[in-house]
Amino acid sequence: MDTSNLVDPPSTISLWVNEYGDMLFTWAHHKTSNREQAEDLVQDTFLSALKAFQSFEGKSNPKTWLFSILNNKIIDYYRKAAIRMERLNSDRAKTQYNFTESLFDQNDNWTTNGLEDVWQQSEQHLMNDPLFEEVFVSCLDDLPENWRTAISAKYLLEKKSKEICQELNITPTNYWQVLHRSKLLLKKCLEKGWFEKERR
Amino acid sequence: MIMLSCKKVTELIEKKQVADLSLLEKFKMKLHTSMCKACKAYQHQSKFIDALLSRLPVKPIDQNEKLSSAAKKKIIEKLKNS
Repeated sequence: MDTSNLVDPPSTISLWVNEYGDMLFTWAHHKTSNREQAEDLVQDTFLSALKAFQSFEGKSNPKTWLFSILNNKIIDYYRKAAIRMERLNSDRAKTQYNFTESLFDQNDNWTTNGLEDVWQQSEQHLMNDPLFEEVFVSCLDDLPENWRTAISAKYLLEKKSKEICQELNITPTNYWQVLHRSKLLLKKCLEKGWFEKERR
Repeated sequence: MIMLSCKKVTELIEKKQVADLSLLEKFKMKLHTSMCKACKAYQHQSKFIDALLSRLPVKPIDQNEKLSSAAKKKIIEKLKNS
């Protein structure tokens, strides 16, 4: 595409908003699970496209170009969330942290719950149980926001943990500590919402 | 201390995913989980939760998720004014 005769970049990009806006939004929504966030990311994508229009010069397909901008925005979004995560001292995170502490006694050993066998017996068929999935999703929603971002980033960005740390610019230590506390909460929440009832 | 606490062991189980454990850490972890039912179970549960997470987002990509026309209008406005 020869862009030299497209005298008006804002008009060109406005056409792209109508042509590619939905696709970009679908992708952003898939990656962030948040409508408003996805809208903001798409808007930022087009505004960045306008700023960088000179560098585009029709070198690639507009769709490819816009998606590469959007993907960078999505990584930025997770990176910013990670910076907030460094400050784990939000009230909610504190409460949840204390709760995970209560799963252990004064010697830091489990205050045992005896549900180990129930977990083991039911794991296989639970993978495809929509009711269990519902419980799991609501447990995930109960996590402090930044913990949830940390734990889902690994899967949403389809990256290895080591790369996530680099990408999100956090230390591995900070990352696995958050993973640890999140896992403990998820374990407890699943037990309360599911496995305790299975035992009965 | 050759015997780690359960809390420490569950920490190591998660740490292993992100960082390499030292030989001593690996040894202590193995020793503990060979004797502690709850931690052995945790090791398994942690993997299970990972498997659940790897299926996220639970909802498949929904092609019907569209950018609202109000949002499109807003973006086009901003493009013109910037």
